[in-house]
Amino acid sequence: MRPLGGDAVEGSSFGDPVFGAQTAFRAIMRAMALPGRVERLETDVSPPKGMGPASAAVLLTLCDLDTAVWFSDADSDAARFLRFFTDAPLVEAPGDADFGFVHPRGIFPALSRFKRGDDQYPDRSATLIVEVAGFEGGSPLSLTGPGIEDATVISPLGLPEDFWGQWSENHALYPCGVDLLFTCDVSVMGLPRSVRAALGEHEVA
Amino acid sequence: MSLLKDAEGPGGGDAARPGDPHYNFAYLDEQTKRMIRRCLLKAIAVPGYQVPFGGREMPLAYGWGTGGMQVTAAVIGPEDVFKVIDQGADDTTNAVSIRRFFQRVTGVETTEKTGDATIIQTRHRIPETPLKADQIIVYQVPQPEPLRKLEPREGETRKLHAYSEYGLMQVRLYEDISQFGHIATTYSYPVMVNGRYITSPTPIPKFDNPKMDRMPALQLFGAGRERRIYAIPPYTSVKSLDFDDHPFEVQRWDKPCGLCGATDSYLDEVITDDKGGKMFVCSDTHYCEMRRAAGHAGPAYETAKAIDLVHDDEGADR
Repeated sequence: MRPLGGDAVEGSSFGDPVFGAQTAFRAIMRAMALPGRVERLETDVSPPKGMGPASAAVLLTLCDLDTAVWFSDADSDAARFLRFFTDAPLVEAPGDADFGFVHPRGIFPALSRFKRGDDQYPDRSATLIVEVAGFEGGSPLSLTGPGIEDATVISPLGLPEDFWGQWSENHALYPCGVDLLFTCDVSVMGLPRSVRAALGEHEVA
Repeated sequence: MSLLKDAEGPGGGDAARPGDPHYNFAYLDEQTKRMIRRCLLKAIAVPGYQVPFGGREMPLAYGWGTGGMQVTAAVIGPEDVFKVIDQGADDTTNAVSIRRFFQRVTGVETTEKTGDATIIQTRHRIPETPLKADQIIVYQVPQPEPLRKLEPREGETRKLHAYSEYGLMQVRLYEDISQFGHIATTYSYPVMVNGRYITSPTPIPKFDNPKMDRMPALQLFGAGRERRIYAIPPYTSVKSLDFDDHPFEVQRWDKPCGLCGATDSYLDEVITDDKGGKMFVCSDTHYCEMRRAAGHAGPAYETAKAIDLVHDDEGADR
């Protein structure tokens, strides 16, 4: 926990907290329900340095004093921004977090270090907000699973090399596992644990 | 503040802040909405799994849809068009009071037309008109735990789900076969969601079960008294349990709907006089009206008109 006040906080929250959060939530829910689809988040949030508008809107929509949040850099403007606007406690260990925020230039701990829920309570797992460099331009992955009609191809840019290997491990734990929300600029894409990812555009495992 | 909108009733409010100004938008406070929203995301990530949530008291008795209302309140926005049905009908007590509640606390537009609604809250039916992508259907759930009648202890049912230990349910269906020669369960017919969780479809007739399979709309479920939320994302496999030699079947009727002549919809029995007269009519009132407006008529249509059971001339624009 860090004290509030002191240095002025950079950025601003929703102009209207009720409708700002509602609009953002519907986009986030659509993203989670239709994995692999890029959802535009209409938001007036102005994020601090080191955080895109979509990430900021997602965190402001979902976090409050009941959610522990892990930041790759706890001393960043982004972390101070979240503390100031939501009161969410920051945690140092990824394993204690309900939400994690991963910046493209920040540390990306192994997915297995976050809470993955247990057999009886798979919902007690972490949700990671992962900022990617882009939704296009990476190596193509074919996604299948609930929320996807047949298969959908995504190619997010800027993920660690072993990420998709880790993702298969995460998916294999189903119904346990972490859920991801990729963000870039004002858009968000969901990747719940129920989704299987296969390398290559045509291969559908 | 627009006087014109206010004059329309309690659902008015001004353009900047729709709904009754005495309440937060959609009744619930923002922290409660955040809690429910977090549960909804986890529910969507694990289709069919029941997520515990901090159910709140609603201004309505438990068992009247408090769970569905809390889910609706957490997702609804001023742009939504809201429809509520109770056993398929838009004009029954439960549907009318929930629709009026949300009209009052959100000021959203309401409709009876299935195709126009963005959010449909339902008690015990799925509309006959197929739901589309981008629509949300919110089910009111009296008992979210499909195994509860077989195992009363929550700790035990939780383990049964954790280990996919579902033999009990197959035995229950088998007992039907041994007693009646067929699976006699007609509503709350258990389904397997995404090949992992046995889930209660809520007390919809089994006639509606096939509509849940790979439905393009998002299905959300709220149980207020039991404090559980679950979800089925679009295009998710939902299979009704059965046996190879006793495959799942839905109800069929010998006669069409008495009012609109539909042969493909779920029919309710309606008593028409005190001499044993009765007829079967669509339980989905909007579907029936739509068909009548399109010129379809069932065998009892003229009689029903004569005894004032239908008022099609007044509601011609439906």
